[in-house]
Amino acid sequence: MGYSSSLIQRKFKDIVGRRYEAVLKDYSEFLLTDEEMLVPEVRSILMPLDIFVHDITDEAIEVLSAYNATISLAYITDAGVIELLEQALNHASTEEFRAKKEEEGRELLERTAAKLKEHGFSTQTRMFVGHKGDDVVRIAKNHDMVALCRRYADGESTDVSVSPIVLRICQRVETPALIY
Amino acid sequence: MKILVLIDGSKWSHKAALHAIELAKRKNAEVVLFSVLDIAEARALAFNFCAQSGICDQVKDYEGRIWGDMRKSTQQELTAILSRYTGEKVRCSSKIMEGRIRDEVLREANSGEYGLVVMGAFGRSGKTRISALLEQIGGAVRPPLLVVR
Repeated sequence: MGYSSSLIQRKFKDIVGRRYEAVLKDYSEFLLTDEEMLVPEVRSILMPLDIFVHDITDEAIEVLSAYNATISLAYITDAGVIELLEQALNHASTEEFRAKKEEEGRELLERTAAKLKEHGFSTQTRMFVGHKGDDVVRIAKNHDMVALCRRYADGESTDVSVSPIVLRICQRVETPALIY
Repeated sequence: MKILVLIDGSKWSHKAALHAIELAKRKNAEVVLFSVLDIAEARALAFNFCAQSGICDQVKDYEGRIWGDMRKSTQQELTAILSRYTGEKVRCSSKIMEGRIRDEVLREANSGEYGLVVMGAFGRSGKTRISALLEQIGGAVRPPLLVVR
């Protein structure tokens, strides 16, 4: 007997046992199917980076080392900011800003990839201008886990909290999320 | 490594336990299943039930009964999860605390004993919204936090 059905049998005894399928359908938001109770293999981990992420903690590396996974590092520059600059300034200033952000991104990607390689991880890197929430949710569909720094897509001032974008990503992705 | 698993009665927290056990096997880690009983929850349940049923004079009695049921049910839940993993060769234990959930979780998680905290993405309200506990503790838990779904 599967986990969900045995749970329903135990809690609701014979009454619901006869109506198992109907209960599972009506209360699906509270129950996990037997398929959902399986722990999926983690082969690839998406790790978004931005200007607010300075490092990966050793504790996070220790946890990630449990998986024999490739880590995809993605540096994202906020498309909204680029658009605002295009409107407020001229194209040349926007390009200058963009080039500077890309340089910072390249540096962070290289530093982070080097640190992960030291710990035996294989890595991939990419950099693009996009939406720090929506694009992570979209790309996460091709990965088995997302690893998010608490400060990702946040600011320097809210150091006692987790970034609202990180919470939104956790709400929307279909994979486990590691917040470090 | 020691892994703290937050169990709140939801099936998502049971899945969190499953993830933690799998991780513990790979890292030769120890798993602690952790639940918090909050008397405020029993008080709210008793008050609302008695107010709606027109039996306000019995509210104290109901609160005591609900509180007793909550303790028993939490103990049974943790025992059931532990017995489910007895054959897994993973060191696994349980701990129940009484107090405010956020405070007790943070006290335990930040005690310095744990290398990872694992919790479900959703709570007992189902998967319509993300666990309120995640919003409360996400920024204050020092070890990495694995959110399972």
